[in-house]
Amino acid sequence: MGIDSLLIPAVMFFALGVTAKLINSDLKFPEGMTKGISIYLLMAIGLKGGMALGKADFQLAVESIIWATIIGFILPIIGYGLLRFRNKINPFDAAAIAAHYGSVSAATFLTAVAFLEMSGVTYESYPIVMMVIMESPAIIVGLMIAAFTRKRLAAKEGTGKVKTEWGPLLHEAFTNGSVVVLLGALIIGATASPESLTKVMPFTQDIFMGVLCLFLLDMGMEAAKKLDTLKKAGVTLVAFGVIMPLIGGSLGIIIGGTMLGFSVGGTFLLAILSASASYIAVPPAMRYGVPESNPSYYLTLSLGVTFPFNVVIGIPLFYQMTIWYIGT
Amino acid sequence: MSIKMCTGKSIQIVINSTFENKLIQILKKNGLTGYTQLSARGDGESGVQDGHSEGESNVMFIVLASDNAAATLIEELNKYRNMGYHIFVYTHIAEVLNSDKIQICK
Repeated sequence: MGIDSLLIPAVMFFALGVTAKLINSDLKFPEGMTKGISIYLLMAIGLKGGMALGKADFQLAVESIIWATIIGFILPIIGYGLLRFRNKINPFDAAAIAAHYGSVSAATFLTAVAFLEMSGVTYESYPIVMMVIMESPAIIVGLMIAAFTRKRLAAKEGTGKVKTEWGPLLHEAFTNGSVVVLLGALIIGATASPESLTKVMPFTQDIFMGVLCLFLLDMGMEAAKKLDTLKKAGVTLVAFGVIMPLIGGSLGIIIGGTMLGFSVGGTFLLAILSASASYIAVPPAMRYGVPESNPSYYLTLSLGVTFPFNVVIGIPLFYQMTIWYIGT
Repeated sequence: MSIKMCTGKSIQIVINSTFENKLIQILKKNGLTGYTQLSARGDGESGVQDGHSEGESNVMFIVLASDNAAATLIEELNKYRNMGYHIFVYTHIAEVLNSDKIQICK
């Protein structure tokens, strides 16, 4: 599997989006369209996962949820440790960036699903549930690290107690739009009658890949926009944007293949989840919860570095690594 | 016939949309229950704010207030600015016609 893996429409539309921006095309999506498309994609993948989950093994589903929570807590801690190594990145930026890397990117996951479906590789439904679970723990870790940093700095500077408003922050972590749509669609898919679900399939499955192409076209334009700010981010952060997905992806392969006993398809999807960085759910949570951090860093890294890296290099690389790790 | 206008401040506040609910709370706490809200795009230290995602959307609030209420509001907003929130505040002297409806004239 070489260049072929890049020749799927979704990846090619991503490249088209990047090209459009680089040649200064006036191509632009109408306001609100991307948000609408992302709700559709989350709903469609949630329904699909829910339908499969209805027939899945309960014990393995519970184990998947537990492992998703563990990964969600471990990855941001690893990320924070890496970023704070040699004290180059300030603790608030490090906490906010690490939170992005502990959470997940639904677009990267969906591109990986497209890759498996085009390659005729089957996969379990559990990674879809894991995607829902993995959205939130990293936000909590990021907020906690920032709160501890604030407390430490206040004690050092003798400025008195610093209060963190946890209520609205935790509310945001657990009720952000993508979690609600995904979890809701999963439950609907698992509990609605199969006959009634076949009626919505033309909308949720038949046109899914086409809509994903549109979404990736927009993501390509957004990623290219972030290229300008790469210089500002600096070499250390850009290197982190490539190294962290490699660490996360490898951890995902080990947990998917060994701890959960997933097939190649399922393990690969867990690797992609662990390698991806959020750019929908986490940025608003960090903007509000960690206002001391610079948003241009985490948005540039997750959308301008890690997302393109995963789509172009990560997907074929993690697929090969999965095959190597658990065999065909 | 001369029309009576009352004088006060027009306060323009640019914030990230994630701070919107908090700002509304602050305004109400200060007795400023009326405001105009607009979507705002721009560029600056936080990067391009083009409304593409929730973290990259700015909003602008225009609030009319008496000089005293404006000073109290700005003082409170400054506390949040010191906490790291990106808040831009501009004021202008405003002459307002709707004197019966706006806090500026009460």
